[in-house]
Amino acid sequence: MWWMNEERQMIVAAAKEFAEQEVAPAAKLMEEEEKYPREAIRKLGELGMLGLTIKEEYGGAGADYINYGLMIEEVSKVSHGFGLLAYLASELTLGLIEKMGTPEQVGELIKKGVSGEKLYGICFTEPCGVGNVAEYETNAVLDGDEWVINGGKILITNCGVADTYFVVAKTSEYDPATLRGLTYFVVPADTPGVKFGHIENKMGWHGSSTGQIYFDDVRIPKDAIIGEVDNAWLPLNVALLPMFATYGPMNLGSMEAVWEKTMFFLKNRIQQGVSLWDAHESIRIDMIEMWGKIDNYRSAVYSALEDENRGENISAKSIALKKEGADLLEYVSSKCIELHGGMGTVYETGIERFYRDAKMGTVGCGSNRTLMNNMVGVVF
Amino acid sequence: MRIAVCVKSVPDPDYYDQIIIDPVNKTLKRAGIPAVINASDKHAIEAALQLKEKHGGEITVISMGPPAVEQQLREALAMGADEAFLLSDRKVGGADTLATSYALSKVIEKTGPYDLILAGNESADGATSHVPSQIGEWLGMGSLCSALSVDMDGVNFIATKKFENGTAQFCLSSPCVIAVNQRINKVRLTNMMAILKAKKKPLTVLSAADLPDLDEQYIGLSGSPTQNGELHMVESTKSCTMLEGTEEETAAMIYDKIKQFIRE
Ligand SMILES: Cc1cc2nc3c(=O)[nH]c(=O)nc-3n(C[C@H](O)[C@H](O)[C@H](O)COP(=O)(O)OP(=O)(O)OC[C@H]3O[C@@H](n4cnc5c(N)ncnc54)[C@H](O)[C@@H]3O)c2cc1C
Ligand SMILES: Cc1cc2nc3c(=O)[nH]c(=O)nc-3n(C[C@H](O)[C@H](O)[C@H](O)COP(=O)(O)OP(=O)(O)OC[C@H]3O[C@@H](n4cnc5c(N)ncnc54)[C@H](O)[C@@H]3O)c2cc1C
Repeated sequence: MWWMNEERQMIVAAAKEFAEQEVAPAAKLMEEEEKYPREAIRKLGELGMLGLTIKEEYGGAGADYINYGLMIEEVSKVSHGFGLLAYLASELTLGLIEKMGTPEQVGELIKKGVSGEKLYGICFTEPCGVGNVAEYETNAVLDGDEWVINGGKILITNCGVADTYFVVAKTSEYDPATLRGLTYFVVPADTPGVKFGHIENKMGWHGSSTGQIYFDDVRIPKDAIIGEVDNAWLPLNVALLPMFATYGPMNLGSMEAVWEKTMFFLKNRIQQGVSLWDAHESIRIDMIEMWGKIDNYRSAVYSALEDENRGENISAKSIALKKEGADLLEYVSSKCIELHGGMGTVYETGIERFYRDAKMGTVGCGSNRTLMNNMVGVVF
Repeated sequence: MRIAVCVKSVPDPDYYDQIIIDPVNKTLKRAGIPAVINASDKHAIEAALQLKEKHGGEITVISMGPPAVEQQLREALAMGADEAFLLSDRKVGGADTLATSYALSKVIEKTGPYDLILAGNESADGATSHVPSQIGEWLGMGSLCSALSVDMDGVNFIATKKFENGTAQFCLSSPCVIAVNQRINKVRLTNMMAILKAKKKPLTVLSAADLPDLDEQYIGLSGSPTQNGELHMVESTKSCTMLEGTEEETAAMIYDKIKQFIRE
């Protein structure tokens, strides 16, 4: 693989070791007890994995997006949901601040995020629909030197776990022509008036703490905004959309793990003295077909990450990777459940969890349908 | 304090089912099998890191092997070692444990002096556990194997070792060689930043010519007093015999079977 070298092999080995020693036990608790893997995320930070792409002067490693992708791929081999949380604790939030934050925000938020000491969350979605921003009810009004935020958000990952939330609120009438009217705010979780509601009981991504947040006369300083007033789309376009590419290595790692588990099973499941793998051509064809799809996806993922390294705009590619990857993971894990026979449907076999998580990837943190619609705007 | 750690590159144990022994040359066919740092050597590096954290100092990793072993030395540097030396030369190839330990002791002499030489207790492939104590002999130093703890009291090194009926503490005057048991510590996870910084740390590849007082009669295949003998392939087959009788009778049958196996 053209993107591999000595250093990246070491990164893979280190991330693999981390995944086996730290993510595996955390993933079990996520699944069985809905326990948020706070300690494992902190350790990711201590080991420099959250700040891989962040500049050295901000406490990061100053490495590129391929190194970052390799890390996400390895942890996602053990848990797709953990991969998501690693992404949220790194590129999704820290990348946003690095690219769009003021020097003060960078100083205050990034170093503690890189070390795993502080955790952040992103709040867009409202009951009216995430893309239906014209009807967002959360609003902020300037009162002297402070913004006063009122409203509420739903389906927020890291709900009640994060130390600070980046919240999108209306600051003037939304204009669909210019996309202006919304502003990105930095709201510490312990600000008076921030309240947490119900945590959802989801089909997958267990333990990722998805829930409701309310803002009741929440007062924050005038300069606690990311980017400009009325222009929340800028941070979205500059920082968030391109890094949806992280779903690439996330989906990739999970499908590779499911495929390999299945290969092992097929070669070791002996019936009348012959393994299922040796006995059935149809099974071999299924497996090689999946191998081809996974291999193509892998090339697409690392090619997009290299484009990002070169400073190209990969927003549309990122959305395509998110969508194609979620669909492929759903296909691969579904097929692999079947190839495992009855045991494939059993939790302890460790396959069906990826199937449930794949479905989460089609809607969670940005519905693929809505995003595809956005993609039309980027491509055409 | 200067600590040297001997690190061997071995085939990744995850791929052992794919390793075959060449029946003619009696060597392992390693093509396509990734190499890793020998497991107990990682514990030796961890022990060195802990000593450095407590007492200060510098850690040098040393290996003998083909040029590709540079990768495992980089990994050792990423784990926290400060400098690395690789002795790589066709002349030292094909060495048995005695020739290996001789060549390694010459590298230690050349790059030293060290206060302590750490090694793993055994390699995953050769697994003779000869090399550390042989290094001690070549260098005229005290040596200890299978250490379960290592510390320094300011002058001497204190190491413990388990025996059937208890734990013994040893006091070794510096410099000395200590081979560590894998249970000595838990190896820390590697930091990503350290991986990226490892490429800037010094790694020197030495050839036999860089070790001027290397006596060629002790190195490589020709300097090795032991050679591989006959190879016997173990056929593994499974069969099941049902034992019939009372509990006492079947227990006695099992006892006899085990005794028979031990005799064989
Ligand atoms: C587990 C999980 C975690 C989440 N985490 C976060 C988070 O951290 N922060 C956050 O802000 N949100 C988060 N979300 C919300 C998530 O982004 C939305 O649920 C998702 O984007 C779909 O939006 P919606 O629920 O409002 O659906 P709706 O907008 O009601 O959509 C219903 C259907 O219509 C389609 N649709 C709607 N509008 C369009 C359009 N313009 N073009 C094409 N199709 C359209 C949708 O794709 C979907 O299929 C999370 C969701 C889940 C499930
Ligand atoms: C299958 C097989 C069988 C062998 N049988 C014999 C045999 O019967 N007799 C014989 O003399 N040789 C034998 N050898 C060769 C021998 O094992 C190695 O070539 C070498 O001498 C190291 O010995 P070891 O692997 O047993 O190391 P051990 O003595 O088990 O290793 C202990 C420690 O010494 C250090 N060390 C060992 N080798 C190196 C190295 N190259 N560089 C740096 N540090 C090192 C490491 O810290 C290691 O953990 C065999 C090799 C193989 C693969």
